[in-house]
Parts: sequence; structure tokens; C-alpha cells
Amino acid sequence: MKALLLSPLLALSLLLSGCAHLDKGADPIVVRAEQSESVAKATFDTFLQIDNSNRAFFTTNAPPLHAFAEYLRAPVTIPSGGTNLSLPRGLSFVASLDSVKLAYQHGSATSNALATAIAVIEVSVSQAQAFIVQQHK
Amino acid sequence: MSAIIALILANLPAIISTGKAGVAWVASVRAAAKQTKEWPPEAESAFMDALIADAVQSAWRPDPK
Repeated sequence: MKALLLSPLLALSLLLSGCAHLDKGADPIVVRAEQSESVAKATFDTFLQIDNSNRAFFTTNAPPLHAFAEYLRAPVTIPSGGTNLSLPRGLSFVASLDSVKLAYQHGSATSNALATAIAVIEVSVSQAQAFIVQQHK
Repeated sequence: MSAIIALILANLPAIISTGKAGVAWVASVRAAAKQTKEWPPEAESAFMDALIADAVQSAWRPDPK
């Protein structure tokens, strides 16, 4: 009942909020990269919290979901500011996109490289979203 | 940007049933959709700090071997 009441309200609030136009001087691909970073971080967090709420259940009943969660959790080392930083893979995707974005802003990466980095992270985000939706069906 | 709204709508049942996590996700996606300019340096470093802080949360820790 609560869900039935909340769904249309949430949908309405989202639709009414609309989408913002970019300020003059804002680089659309940089803003897009930052939006992708925010959405990716939030989506991975949500997905991993769902899996973390009952890892034993998902390991037994939804092995692909848990395997993807473990894939995102696996530590990897990435270069960051002249040193190496160890992060879970999901967060390293976000950090890597941020590095490419900064390189683009400083003129040492092309917009194609940034677009590719955005596309790469969106694949993992889509996969996490598919699992979130799937486990609620 | 309509893709972001479509994304939220497609995930509505999951958002509602995940409760707090779902609400936090909606807030993040809505904030992203409303972004109109590039992050200033302080937002950039705050985001990276939050990313590093996430890494030690229990949800991000791999299963024990």
C-alpha cells in the first residue's frame, strides 16, 4: 500500500524537477562525466548494500548477482597523484573516470577518451541496475 | 538528461523496496540531473574523499577467503 502511494508521488516529483540547462562556459562532456561519476557511485553503493544485507542468501539464491558484487569489491591498484591507490574495483572505475576527466580538462586527454571512459563505466552501472531490478521481481 | 529520469522510473520498485538506500540513490541521481556547471575544486576533492571513505564501508569489503 505504501509502495502504491509512494510510486506516483515519486514519479511526479522527478518529472516536475525536470532537467537543468548547463551554465554558459560549462563543458557538456565534463558535466556528463561528473554526472556519470555521481550516478555510478550511488548505484554501486545501493547495489552492494542490497547484496551486503544478506550475502549468504544471494550467494546461494542469486550467484551471478553476488559474483558481480564481489567483482565490484575486488581490490585493484590505480595510479593517483603520483602514488598508487588501492580501491575496490567499482570505486576504481569512478576514480579512473575522474582521472580521465581531469586529464581532459588539462588538455592531456581527448574528448573521445573521456567519452570512452564514460561509456565504460555506464556498462557496469547498467549491470548493477539490472541486478537491482531483477532481485526485486 | 531524460535518460536519468527514465533510469529512476525504471528502477522505482527497487528504489521503494530498498528504503533508505533507494532514497539516497534517488537523491544522488536527482542532484546529478540538476548539475549545471563543472565541479569547483572543493566539490572535486569532496567527491574523491567520499569515494575513498566508501572503500572501508562493510558493503564494499569482499567476502572473507
